Amino acid sequence: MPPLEVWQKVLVKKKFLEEDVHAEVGCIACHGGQPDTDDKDAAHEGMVKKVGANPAETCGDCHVDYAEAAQTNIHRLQTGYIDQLHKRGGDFTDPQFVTAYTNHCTSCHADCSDCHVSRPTALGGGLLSGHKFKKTASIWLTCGGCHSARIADDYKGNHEGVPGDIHWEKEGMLCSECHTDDAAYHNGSHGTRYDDDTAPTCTQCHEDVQPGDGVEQHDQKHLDNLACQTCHAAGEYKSCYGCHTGIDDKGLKFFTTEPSQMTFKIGHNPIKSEKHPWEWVLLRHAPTNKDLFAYYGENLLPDFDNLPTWKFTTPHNVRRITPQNETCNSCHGQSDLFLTEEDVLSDEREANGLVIVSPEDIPGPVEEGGQ
Amino acid sequence: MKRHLLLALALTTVLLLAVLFIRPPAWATPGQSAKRFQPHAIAPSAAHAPASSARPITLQADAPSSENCIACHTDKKKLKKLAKEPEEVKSEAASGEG
Repeated sequence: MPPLEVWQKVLVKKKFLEEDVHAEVGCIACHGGQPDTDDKDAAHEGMVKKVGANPAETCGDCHVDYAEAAQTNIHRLQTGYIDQLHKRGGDFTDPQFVTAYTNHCTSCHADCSDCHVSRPTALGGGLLSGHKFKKTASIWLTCGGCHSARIADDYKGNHEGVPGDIHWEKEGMLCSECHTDDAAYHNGSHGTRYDDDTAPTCTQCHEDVQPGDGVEQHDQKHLDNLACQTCHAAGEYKSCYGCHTGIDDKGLKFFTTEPSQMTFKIGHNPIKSEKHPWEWVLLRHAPTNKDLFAYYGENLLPDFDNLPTWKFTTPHNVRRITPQNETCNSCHGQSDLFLTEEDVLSDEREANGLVIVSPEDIPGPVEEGGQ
Repeated sequence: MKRHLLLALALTTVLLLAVLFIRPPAWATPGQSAKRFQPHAIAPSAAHAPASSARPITLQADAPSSENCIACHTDKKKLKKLAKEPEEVKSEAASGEG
């Protein structure tokens, strides 16, 4: 996203002042500060820059239900991070672990204003449209600002050789058309986004997908055993590796990651549930590793192997016809499409035992037109 | 004569009501004494409903003026002059995507 100059970040448009109901309360009522001076430093004394950080006391004065939902919201509380780190043995009562988490993970926190008023703080902030409140967050500057390489770039078709998502190309659908008001970005949920009951499913719209719907591979066996994206993701998507964290000799926090790779891997489903019942799903490597927090202490993730590093994923590059569904044998017998042991780093094989596909499990070639 | 008196009385009443109940928005009111941040300065009641979930609000008469804030934050030239680049806080040790 194009960067903003410092002055642009705080320029308030007159249109906001004249037309937006939020302007009627004045600046001080929400931001505090000193009204009786035009000296920059004096005026900003006691000012609250990020009003949306405390929705119960600010936005919640009017938007009561959203402020209540924010108390358990995944974007604010990062319940996904907490859930995954906890399952890997992270101890949120251990000061070393908490310091590591606070230094390196919490910058991805987003509150009300990070979506509806400004660009996310994690990306440098700055008013979106002269302080105008956007009822629907900006798809590329806010949603896509944070969820960029692994969602927005897929969706727009920015990865070389992989087409964009048909929902964008053909229908111009915004994030909020599937991830509706009820979903995790407003309501609370425990665990990751996939644990959220209100998260979208393909069949919410494509309710006519069923055996006998006229699509050759939509037989009971395929529909029961394969997540939609396994057949309908249009190509490779980004996997990330080797995140390490630390503090440099100037006291600045930093992290390093290894080069990302474009991957397409089918594996066993690590989160089988009523909502995700399939055996075969797409997997993406997350940047986590055993030494993620090694700077802060030894063995801070003692149960690292409890979760795979190749994780259930739902790439946003969906199309009807894809390289792996053109014919039966575009998938059957194509061992490169499947996550096998040799695709997994040796020290991560135990963690990925559930999802790795053994050679004998890879569906063999079939006679075209058969099952 | 009586009709003229009644008309004058009606006009006076309308003017009086206008003075009492019509006032400019809070951000345009003249400066008042310095006041610390009061997150609950906006009392919920009945006026605007900006979104389906929104509880209506009423502005309080003593809301502090935002004249100075607005004068500066709508003035490009002034902002360009006053805005300071924050100190570079990115570690040289950082590398890779993320």
